[in-house]
Amino acid sequence: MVTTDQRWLAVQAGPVRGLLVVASLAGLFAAWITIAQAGFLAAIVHGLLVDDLQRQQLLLWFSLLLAGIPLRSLCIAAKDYAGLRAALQVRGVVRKNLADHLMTLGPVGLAAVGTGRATSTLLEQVDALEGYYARFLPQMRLAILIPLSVLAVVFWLDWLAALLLLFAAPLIPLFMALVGMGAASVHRGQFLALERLSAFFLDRLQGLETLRHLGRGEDTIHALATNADHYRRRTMAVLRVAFLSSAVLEFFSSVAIAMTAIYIGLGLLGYLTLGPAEQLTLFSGLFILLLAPEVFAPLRELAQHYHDRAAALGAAAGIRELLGTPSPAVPRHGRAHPSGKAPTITLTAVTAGYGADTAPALQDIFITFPAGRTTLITGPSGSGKSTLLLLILGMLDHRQGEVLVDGRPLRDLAAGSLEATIGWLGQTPRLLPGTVADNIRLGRPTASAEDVETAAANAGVLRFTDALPDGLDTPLGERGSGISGGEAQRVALARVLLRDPPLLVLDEPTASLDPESRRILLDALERQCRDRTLIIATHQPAQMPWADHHVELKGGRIRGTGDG
Amino acid sequence: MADLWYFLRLYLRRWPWLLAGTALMLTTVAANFGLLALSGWFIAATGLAGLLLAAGGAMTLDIYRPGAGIRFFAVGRAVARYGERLVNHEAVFRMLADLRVWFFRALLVLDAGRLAALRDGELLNRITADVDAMDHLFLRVVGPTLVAIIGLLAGVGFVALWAPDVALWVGLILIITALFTTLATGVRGIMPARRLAETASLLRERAVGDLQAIAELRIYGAMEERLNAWMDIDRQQAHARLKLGRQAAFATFAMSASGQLALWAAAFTGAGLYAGGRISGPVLAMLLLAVLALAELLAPLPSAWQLLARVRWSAARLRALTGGSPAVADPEQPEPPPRDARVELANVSFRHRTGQPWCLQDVDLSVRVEERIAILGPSGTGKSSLLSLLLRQRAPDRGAIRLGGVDLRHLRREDVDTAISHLPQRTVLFSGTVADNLRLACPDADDPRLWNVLQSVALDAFVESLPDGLDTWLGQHGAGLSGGQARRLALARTLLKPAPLVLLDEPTEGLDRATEKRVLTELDRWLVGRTLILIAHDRDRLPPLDRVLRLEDGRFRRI
Repeated sequence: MVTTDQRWLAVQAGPVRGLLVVASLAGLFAAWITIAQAGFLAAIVHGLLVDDLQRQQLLLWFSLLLAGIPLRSLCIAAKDYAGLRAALQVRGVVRKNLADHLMTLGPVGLAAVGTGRATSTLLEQVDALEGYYARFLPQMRLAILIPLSVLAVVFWLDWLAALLLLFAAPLIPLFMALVGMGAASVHRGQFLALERLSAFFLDRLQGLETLRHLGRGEDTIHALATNADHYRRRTMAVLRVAFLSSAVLEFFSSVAIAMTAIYIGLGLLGYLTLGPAEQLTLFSGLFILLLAPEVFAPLRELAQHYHDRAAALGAAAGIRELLGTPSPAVPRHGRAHPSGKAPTITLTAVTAGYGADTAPALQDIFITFPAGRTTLITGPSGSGKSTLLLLILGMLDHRQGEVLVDGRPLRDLAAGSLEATIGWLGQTPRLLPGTVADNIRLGRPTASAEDVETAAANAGVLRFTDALPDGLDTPLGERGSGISGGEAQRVALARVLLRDPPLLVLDEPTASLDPESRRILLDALERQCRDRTLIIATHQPAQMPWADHHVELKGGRIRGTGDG
Repeated sequence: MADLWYFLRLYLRRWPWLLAGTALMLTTVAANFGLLALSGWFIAATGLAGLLLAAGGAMTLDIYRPGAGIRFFAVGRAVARYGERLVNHEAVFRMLADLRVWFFRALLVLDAGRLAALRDGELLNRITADVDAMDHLFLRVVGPTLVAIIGLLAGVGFVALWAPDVALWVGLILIITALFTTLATGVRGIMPARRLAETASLLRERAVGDLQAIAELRIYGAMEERLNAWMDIDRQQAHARLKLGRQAAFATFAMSASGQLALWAAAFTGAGLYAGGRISGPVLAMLLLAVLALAELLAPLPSAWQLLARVRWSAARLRALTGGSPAVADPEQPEPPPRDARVELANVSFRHRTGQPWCLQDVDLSVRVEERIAILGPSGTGKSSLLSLLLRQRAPDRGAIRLGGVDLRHLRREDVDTAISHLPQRTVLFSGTVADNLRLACPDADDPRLWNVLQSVALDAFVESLPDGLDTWLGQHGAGLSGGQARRLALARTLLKPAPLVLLDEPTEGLDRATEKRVLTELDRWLVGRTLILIAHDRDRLPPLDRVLRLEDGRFRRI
């Protein structure tokens, strides 16, 4: 039964097929050398014990045995290394594809997926593929090829012994299936239990302060312990059965070796007269005995790597799901560019929503945002204000109707061209690692230092950076740590002012601002941006008395419009 | 190494399990050794006897006892292996629970600032992976090493009983290569393992930060550049991983070669001994197969020790997180819990780090029992810091804070927490039912009381509409609720907690005006007999209050 996840894993192996073949071949060569060396060793013992030869007369065999050592070891090391190379190559490609896809999902798509899930897929799940390509895939071929090679040699030496080994391992594929089933249920039992325990643990860790404050610290510790105990009992019940399958393999391989040893012994004594038993010599007997464990060793190793496969299948499911999440943004294949002047944005009969099976967040919207005017969008939370802005930004595609920029549909614009003419401020500004100046310069990378400083002054950034020893060159931590929310919003404003775009889209820009930051922001908008096309979603229209138009939304529909 | 030792000691509390597991591992190894060695002896003995018989000679060879021995070892190996897996998995599950409990307990005493830093950027995810990695320490590193050492010594000892010369060579070759390779892999692996860990956290930080800023990156055309930065880190990570892989391959080469070399040496020396009549033929065959079994024993050592290098970083990170003295320690001789909810701040100054401007400077504040006040002020002026001082999550740099007339420094943090019900800015909910989430604050609240508080936060209609009502399951962080609903559920929980002092940090953030109004009006019912300190942005979005203060430039001003 080949699932789509298995197929996906197989497709990813395509570009590294060469390396995987090298790994398998190296493993096979190592096995062949092992077989030869077993022969040399048996010949030495036979020569000494049966033919009464001196050590000097056996130097050929001793040298051959010695010569095989570096070769065999080299092959084993090469197998591991080639497998790892293959795995790392697959990892790089998959991670790049995922990263590209995450970026195209945009804010709407990422919000639906969740940043936590997106990063854990990008990091942990991609890492979880390693063992499958590095160890499991090469070993899967070896688990068939090596036992067959060994059995062929044993068959040539003594077909009855080969039959004994075959009898103990009736059919190698059957064994593999058995091992696979056992390992799969071990995986289900153990790994899923661990995963759930980890999820519970993480959930409680993230709210640890709250639990402590509520006086639930000890209770939670108790819950953690009982939860773990509960999973332990349940999982061990599964594992007791699951381990049996590998115990069966272990048992049969042990018994096969024992039976072979006893068969050979009785044959050598002459107690057995059936089949080829009478032709057994110490050479062939010892040779077979040395080879017997090699029939089962590759299978045992495969069983050990089975959890690599299960982990990779789990990861493949997560990765495929994420890669298969369509981007909710407007697909943009056109070549047109916006004029660069303040645009008129028109929505005609637009219906839009998140996810195919949910109710539309906006329905049957007709609005025009005139060029160079300020329009406020008001309405209770959940009325569709943010959705409307996302439509204009092209980050959410509409289901019906048209979104037009100066009469041209969004999808006809070249990728990135609309973005280059937009200034955007959200409720929570996001800053990038780098200095304050770097973050402002993002608005216009070619801007001069004076322009950056002017923008910083106009946005009130200098008011707090002047107190810092490095001023605008103060480095910010990851995600802008080190400054307050209000200060971050001023940096974001400076970025917009530096870009000086013809279209500004603002989503409740003052919602979590202190009065000073709010005053600076509103002043800057009124003084410097009023000749742009300005679209602002807000709960507090009174803060912007200079706005030209009002649109009121309710329940995803336009409830009213007005001027002034 | 001190970090690893610390965790080993934690594991040693489960010594009966570890002992049983290790003993079973040794039994498996011994049975394998016995199976191969006895088979080798048996075949050579029967071979020689067969030749003698065929030549017409007379001899008796007991074939039953060796045969039974072979079968015994064969079955014993399978059974011991099964038992070993069961026991070791039991042990892992137990240690896992211990480790999580230990970690939770260790974080429980951390101060708020360090916890917030951990939560930010999904660091906790990384940490849980570190905790998982610690499971390997015993099963995959210490256990196999112990078994290898004991097995090797016992095996070489067994060989020495028959042929000291062979034992000398085999012991020398195996022990020296194992020691050298294992230590070399362990030591050389330290740097790449560190690189691997560092690039992994860097990539996580970058990915989390950039994905949160995706709208900005799109608009400012910076996606390509950030993607390239990610892939650069990824390449560095792959490079470190490959380096570890090369070291592992080298170790595999060395171990495999040394095992074979030992076998060769045993054959060569053994041949000489046999020729000199010092050992019999069957014993020679037995020793050769015994050496083969010994070599197998050492194979997993280098990878175990490479793992050790990686586990080390996990151990160090975990210890670094949990170590250090808390910013606020409990007093040695605590005063009894405060009897009322008077709050006094005298000359309090506080800043996050030395060198930064003061958040609060020489602040005085006195709140009477049952008084309700609000504190307004620009963001970043220290309103939330003030609350964390009151909660004793942080300590003021100067001045004193008294709760119910008792200096906070003389109170246990637990008693402070009992006296206060706090709604932090960040909404925190847990996976569990709606009722579970509420009862965290008040375990013996009955259903009518839960409905009552839900009604006050305007969630009653919503919860009624849910399929299982109060027993509806919420996913992690209250998945299934909108931001505003989650906020109100957290507020409901805060109101339920029977504490005389209530601290609300922007309780109606993210609510629309109508809901906000209803919630603010309803607050009164739940605040009877309690003291309230409320933090807000807007003067016109407040419930009825006794006093409104403004925090500006680190000081209070009355409005």
